[in-house]
Amino acid sequence: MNGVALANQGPAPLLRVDRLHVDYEVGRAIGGWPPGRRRTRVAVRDVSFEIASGETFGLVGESGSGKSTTGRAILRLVTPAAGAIAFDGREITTLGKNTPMWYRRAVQVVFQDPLASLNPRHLVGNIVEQAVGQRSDAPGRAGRRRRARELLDQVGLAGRHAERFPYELSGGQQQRVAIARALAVDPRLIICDEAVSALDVSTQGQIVNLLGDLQRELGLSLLFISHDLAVVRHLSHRVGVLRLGELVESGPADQVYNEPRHPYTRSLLDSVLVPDPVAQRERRLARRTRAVPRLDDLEEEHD
Amino acid sequence: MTDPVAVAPGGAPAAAADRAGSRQWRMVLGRLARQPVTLCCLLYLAVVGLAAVAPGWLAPHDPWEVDLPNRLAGPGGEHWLGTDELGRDQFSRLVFGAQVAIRASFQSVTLALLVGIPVGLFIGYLGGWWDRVTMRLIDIVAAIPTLLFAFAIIALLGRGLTNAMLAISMVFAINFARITRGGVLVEREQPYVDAGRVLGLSRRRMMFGQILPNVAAPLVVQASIFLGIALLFEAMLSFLGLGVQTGQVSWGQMLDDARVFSAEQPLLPVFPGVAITLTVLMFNLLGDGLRDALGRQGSAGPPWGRDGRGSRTRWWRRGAGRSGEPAGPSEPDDDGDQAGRAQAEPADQRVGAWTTGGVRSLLEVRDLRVAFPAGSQGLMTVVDGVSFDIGDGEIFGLVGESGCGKTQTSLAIAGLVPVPGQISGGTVRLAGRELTGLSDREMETVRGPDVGMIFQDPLAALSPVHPVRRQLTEPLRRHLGLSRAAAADRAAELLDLVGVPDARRRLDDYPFQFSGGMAQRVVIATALACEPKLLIADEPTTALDVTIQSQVLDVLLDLRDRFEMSIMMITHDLGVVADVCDRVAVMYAGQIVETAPVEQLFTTPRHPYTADLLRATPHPDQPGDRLPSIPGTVPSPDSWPAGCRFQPRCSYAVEACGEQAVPLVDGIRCLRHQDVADMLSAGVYR
Repeated sequence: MNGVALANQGPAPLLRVDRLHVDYEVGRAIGGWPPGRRRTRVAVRDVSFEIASGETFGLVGESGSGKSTTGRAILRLVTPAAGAIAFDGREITTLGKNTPMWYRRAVQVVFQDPLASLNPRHLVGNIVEQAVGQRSDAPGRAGRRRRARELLDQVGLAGRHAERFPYELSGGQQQRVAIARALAVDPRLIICDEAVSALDVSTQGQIVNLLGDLQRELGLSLLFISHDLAVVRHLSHRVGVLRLGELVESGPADQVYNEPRHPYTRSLLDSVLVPDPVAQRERRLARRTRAVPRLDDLEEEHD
Repeated sequence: MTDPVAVAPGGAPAAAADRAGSRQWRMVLGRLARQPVTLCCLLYLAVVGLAAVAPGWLAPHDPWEVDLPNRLAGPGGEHWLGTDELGRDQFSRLVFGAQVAIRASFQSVTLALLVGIPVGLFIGYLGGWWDRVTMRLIDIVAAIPTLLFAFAIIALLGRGLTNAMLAISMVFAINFARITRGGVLVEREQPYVDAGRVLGLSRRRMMFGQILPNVAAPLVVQASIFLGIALLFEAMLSFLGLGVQTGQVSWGQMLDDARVFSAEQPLLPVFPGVAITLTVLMFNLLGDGLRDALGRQGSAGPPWGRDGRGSRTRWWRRGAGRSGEPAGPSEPDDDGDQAGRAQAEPADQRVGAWTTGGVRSLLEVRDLRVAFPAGSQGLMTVVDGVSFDIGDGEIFGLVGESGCGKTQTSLAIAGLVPVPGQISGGTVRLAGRELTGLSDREMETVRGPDVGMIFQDPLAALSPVHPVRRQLTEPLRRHLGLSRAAAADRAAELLDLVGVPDARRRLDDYPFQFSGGMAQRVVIATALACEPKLLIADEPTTALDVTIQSQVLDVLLDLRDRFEMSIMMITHDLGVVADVCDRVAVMYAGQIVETAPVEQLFTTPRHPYTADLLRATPHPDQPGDRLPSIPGTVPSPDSWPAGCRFQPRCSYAVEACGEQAVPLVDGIRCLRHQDVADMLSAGVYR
């Protein structure tokens, strides 16, 4: 059940998430004592996994499974209720209120909605320059601009794009800007939270390939969070499956996809629609005749 | 990197990237310049401003020069606007009064901005106890009447206009703080704020550099309106004798003086009154103009784009036939225009080869065009001559990426093209009945009994303030004339049919009490209420999880088998197409580029776009290192290329492809489809 059990041998992992537990406040209780007591809902419970240097870990799950919350806890955007997160051997859940810059530079993020993740009042060039300014060896104004251009070039954008506002770019180009911003501080881990889910099919491939290329060139680790099992399969070395806040299965991608051990993983895989009418018809038949747990009940339960 | 987005060599114009501000200001000024009313306001306020800065230049007389023989003179002659009870020149006094008015209002508003905005940013961004305590304090202060405040401050600090204006400044500051806080609470949830936090930007930079520019627009508007209110307040204080000291001129004080002598010279109060009213009005109009000019760029989006589906969220109201809805889609153009267009592309009329093949057609769409007004360029076509048939009991897929016009096609069929768009040509025939040209009222009798619709976001398609019972029974009672009880029975049956457990009890639940998959089933049930012949499903499962997606598709397939219903399935997901569709049309840039039975489309795609889409779709069983992708992006309707519209992104394109429009022949819109087919069958991918 637990990712740690399958931890890869070799050097110490870059990121180790150990029995992570995150609650969400859903409101305050009316009545009762003391009044205004916090009512919470468990978003993530007992999630453990590791990401090695240069590895892509795919985290799949349906809405409400806690996959984004896990990413936000690693980014220190939410505070875990319990559990440990160690980055490069250093514990980061005990850092207190302010996050040290070394960690901010080490871990970066690419969000789902490319337009909303770029400040609408800033030019693309400014957005990347600002990120360059957060480096420990931040160059001067001219150096920042030069470095920003290099980064935009690295993600496949031209210099003229620096002079545009985010809304003037296409979705794929916006996501490239978000990637350039993340790369600006030379991170070691990038958390891709549904980073290609909002893109068209033809553009999705471009961004997936870009992420793969960057990972190989720069030796990055990626935490690739997505509900799309097919895309996760393409990028990930190892995969974890979340359901209702719990990691039900994790392991090498081939193993999880070919020999799923948990029935939930199997039903997820069975539900994926393959772009092949003949194969899909067989899958549909197989899925509908097999006695799978009624997912309606599960769904009602967590909503 | 082999990523094929245009990568220009370096050396792009090294213009200052810091010019975001200046570029935005230029855009705002450009939009202001196109508003004549706002320009008039600015002109008037410039004159008042000049009077405030240098009253000596404008005033023909000394405002304190007493000329008793000429007291209470009417307008004209040496004194343009007459004189007051001491024979002082009214016009000059108005000019000098502007100085007090403008100075007092700018002082109070500037002070309020300097205090209110940082407070609002601070409590909004930090939240928690800071927010709660400050907001309660603000509530208490806001409950004290402003005038009482002014008296208190005068009692504490002594008389004087500046002291009195502190009271209104405080009120403004509270308002600015509230507006700022509200804006920050919205912006704080935006991913760009999270991205800034992840980059470790300091709090000060987050608040002032990232968030403030995004909440500034309403503040600027409010500041302009507050300038007017401050001016009124100053006039009021001066009228009450609490404002300016002797030795200064104020419009309010002039009014107070005029009050006594208005019996002798009725025009006396008119001019200061007009000056106050006009200036306040100008500040307010300027605020309105700024509001229009400062709208966030890009958020509005084109009416045919993703953002243009506002009317879709209200479809249930239209479908339910409620009155008072805004006017529906415009009437199509006259017949002459349609005929002209039909002649322009006769090849598209050769539809025989790709119709339903023997099965009787339920829906016949011929040369359908949808256009939106595009500024001075006339109409912009977003659906360009689409023709297809849907047979009885057939599931017909319309596939394409976003911006290809598939949604607009479906909305046109249902008579729901969002205003100001219109059906600019073509015919839509449902079971032999022509639908284009029907009035909105007539279309209401079509939607429901003949055409049902389901959309991507189930919760947006259901009215949040009514239990689902009402939304299910209303079409039943309206279109089928069922009684209340019979309709409720039927509604429960429908919910049961689409797989909602405990259907009867759940009738009284509100939409938010349903999960995404269940809410979509409710939407399907409402669409099915009158057993429509055609169900239009626009991305019905895109917002749902995979396990729920396959269940909803199961429901649709079962319903088709049970009711012999035809389904038009609009999707970007080739997996959905493979799962449920019988026949498919692939759309690109407003046109159908290929139609084929589903097996044929997947095994032997004929159009390069279809082939590219198929290759770009990730397959869960085939882990590959690289995901094939199509270079570039879907062009927007204002930049469709000449000739074949896919040709700039097509790896098979030759020169001829860009020369003239390619007709759709035998279900394929490609000049080179023979060559492409040969290459594809030989396994050669370009």
